Amino acid sequence: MTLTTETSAAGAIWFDDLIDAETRAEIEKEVIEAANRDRVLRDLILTTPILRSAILRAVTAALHFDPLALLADGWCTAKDIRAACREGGKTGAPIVLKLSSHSIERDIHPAIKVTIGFEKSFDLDVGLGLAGTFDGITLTIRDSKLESVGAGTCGLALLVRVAGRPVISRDITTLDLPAEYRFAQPLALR
Amino acid sequence: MKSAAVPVLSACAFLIVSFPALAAQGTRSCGAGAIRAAAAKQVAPRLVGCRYDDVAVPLAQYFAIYPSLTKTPGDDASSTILQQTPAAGEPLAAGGQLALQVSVGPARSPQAAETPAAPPSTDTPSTEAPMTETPVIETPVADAQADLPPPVQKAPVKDAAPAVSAEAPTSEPKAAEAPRNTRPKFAWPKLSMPKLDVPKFHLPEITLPKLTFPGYLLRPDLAWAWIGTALVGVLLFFVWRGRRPRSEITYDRVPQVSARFVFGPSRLSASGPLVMESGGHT
Repeated sequence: MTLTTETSAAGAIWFDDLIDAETRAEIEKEVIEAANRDRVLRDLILTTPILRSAILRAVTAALHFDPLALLADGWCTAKDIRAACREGGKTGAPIVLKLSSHSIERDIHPAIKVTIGFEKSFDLDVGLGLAGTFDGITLTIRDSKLESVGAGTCGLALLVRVAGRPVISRDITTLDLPAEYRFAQPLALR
Repeated sequence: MKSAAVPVLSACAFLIVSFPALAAQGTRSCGAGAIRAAAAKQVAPRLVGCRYDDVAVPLAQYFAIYPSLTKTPGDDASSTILQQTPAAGEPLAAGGQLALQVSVGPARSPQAAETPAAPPSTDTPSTEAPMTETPVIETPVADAQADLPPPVQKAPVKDAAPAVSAEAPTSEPKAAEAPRNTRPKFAWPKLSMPKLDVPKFHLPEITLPKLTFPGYLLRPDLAWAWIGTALVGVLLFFVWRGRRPRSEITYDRVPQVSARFVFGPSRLSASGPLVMESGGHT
């Protein structure tokens, strides 16, 4: 299932707004199962049942992120983009790069910090993989910092891995990017 | 040494004197041993010559019978058995009939011989056979009663009523002529039941200690009751705990949970050159 979402220049894109209820339930299920695989966290959930819903609320809150800013790390670390910036760049002048079709994938590992009289962090044994397939997009870079991405389309997919094995693979949506989608803050090229 | 020798010598003398009597007690015919041996053979024991007082108890004990007595005056001592039926050695089963003729002693008053013997009165100490008594004329009442065997009971006799009661009016001229003080009296021997060796059963006396209120509750037989009460209490406690609302359990320990995402490295893949065109901002 592929959804097409129009994004305005002023409007921000949030990942939790893009996923549907079914995808959200699957994510919560995998998170709770990962929490139960941790013996200490499981005992805490058994003794304090409210902890279960608290973990789910915390994970849902953590899903409120910008997927394009997350995937922009792939552009910031690409050698081709860094080389192009060095070739034609005056200091302070923006550089526009038109990119070919490509894809960027990044792993996300949720971690839970519980405070019940004491504080303890738990790294859940579940991995969320976010993949973006970009087609016909342009990047605006100024002073070796990525300022915005524009035009083109971006297909987002979610991949859930447990113990390194993918258990859920779901296409979330396809974004029709506006002419200029500015990031909240410029991202430095590395 | 002298003080120690005296009791020792006394004991030895006692044993020497009493040993023949003790030894003969179990073997003589009047003893309980002989009666027991005869009861084992179910034959009548030899009782003639024995005192009735000595054999009454063993007879009742080993033969379960009360002999029917016929008391007659004689030269023998009082309560001496003169004759027995059945004779010694004849079959006599337990619970059978045994008739004994017992002497009541010699007649002391010569007037007794002149006095016609009253018809024997019957008294039934046993249901099996009536006892026939022979009236004895006595001059000193006290002596006559002392010589009589104990198992004799005084009973009124119709035929002897004029002679027994000195105060009763009489129509016979002989009796009226005789002075009242010298009138002979019939003293009937008193009958008494032989004493039986009935085994006594001694029931153990149960004495419960007096316990006060807390001591009563700490009785050992109430230990299980206390343990059961404690278990029920623990069970009810856990049931009460389990039915508490969950929100009430965690009300005082609201957990604070925060989640964060640890981002891994990004992987960019392109089929061809990534940068297709590079230029300034338009």
